[in-house]
Amino acid sequence: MDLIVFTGILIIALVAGLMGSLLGLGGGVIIVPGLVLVFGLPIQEAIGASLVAVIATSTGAATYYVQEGMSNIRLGMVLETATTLGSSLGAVLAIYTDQSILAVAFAALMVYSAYRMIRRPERLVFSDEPSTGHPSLSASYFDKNTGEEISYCVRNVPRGLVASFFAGNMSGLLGIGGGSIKVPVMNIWMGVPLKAAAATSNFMIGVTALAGALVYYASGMIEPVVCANVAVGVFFGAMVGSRVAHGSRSSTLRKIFAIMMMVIAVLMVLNAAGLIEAV
Amino acid sequence: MERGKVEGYIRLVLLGGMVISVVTLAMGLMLYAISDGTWEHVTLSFGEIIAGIAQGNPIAVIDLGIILLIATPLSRVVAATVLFAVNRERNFVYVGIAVLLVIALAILIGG
Repeated sequence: MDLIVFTGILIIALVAGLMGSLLGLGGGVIIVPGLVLVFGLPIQEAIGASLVAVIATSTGAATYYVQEGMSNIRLGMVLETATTLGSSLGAVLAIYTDQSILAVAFAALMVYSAYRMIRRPERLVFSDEPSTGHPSLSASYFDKNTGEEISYCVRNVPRGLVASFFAGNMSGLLGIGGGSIKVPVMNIWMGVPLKAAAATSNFMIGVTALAGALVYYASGMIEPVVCANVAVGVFFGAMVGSRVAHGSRSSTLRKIFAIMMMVIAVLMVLNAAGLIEAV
Repeated sequence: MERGKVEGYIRLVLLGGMVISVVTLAMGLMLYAISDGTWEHVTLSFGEIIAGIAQGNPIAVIDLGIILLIATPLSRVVAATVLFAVNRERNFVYVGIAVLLVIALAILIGG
């Protein structure tokens, strides 16, 4: 690998980490198209690298959320049984799927992410009567913004498991964290407050991506220098981003980025059709 | 053990794994960037990675970093399962074992 490619991948990863933490989306939607469209990597290798990077960012963020008591570890581990299964099967599917089909699936995911960036369908769920959920999964955390202790119960676990399997599947298949599926599911179906849902989703992402990454690893799809570059770049990009972000996310920035994602999605489809080549 | 303590230990495992793996990866990348880029890829067995590091092969250092990074969430699952056992939360011990079994399955189906 020459120095220009080496540095280029590092820069894309830094940008992905930075934008990811500023806009609250995983780095995968930036890294995979970046590696495919700019550097012409096979999409499976790009997805493998993205999964390794996802492990790095989610682990970094988890150390913070777990300390703050926002991640519901028990609920996370219950749902992980489904996400890991989904992720490993998704990775197997990706390895045997045609590159162009994967690229089109990825483009569809980008359009969905762009939509979610403009319209966030989550709502704030208030705590239920303690009797309605699973007592061993109920939890509480201290909300710094309101200064209140928030307690909640978890319901609809079977439905959550099915959705988690699907989220894991997307993670292994496309190299993303899958938070854009798990957070609304935990929030709307399972009654977990938004902050706890986001923290618990992040907690699960490391193990979910690990199951998928192991399949790519065992199949020889993990290119070490690319993966290391992406993981280190995204990690430091996210670290800087989370220092700068401070909660408020500009809606103009979100809209500009959503439009950019739509454009990149179109480029991915054109690339899959063989109409445009990597730069 | 109180409920909050499990979280405390898990955070330590994650933080330790994170620091060690990112430092190893960054070191490997720096060695790779200053090398002439002609190093061979090592096969991914632990013995060969160690032998590669002994020869000063930067790709072997990177491989070690990736393995350490992947091992971090895995050791978190193991730690949580052990902590649930100490806490006598039997249901969650089973949950932890189930997650570990799926991960073992992922290695088998990938290979």
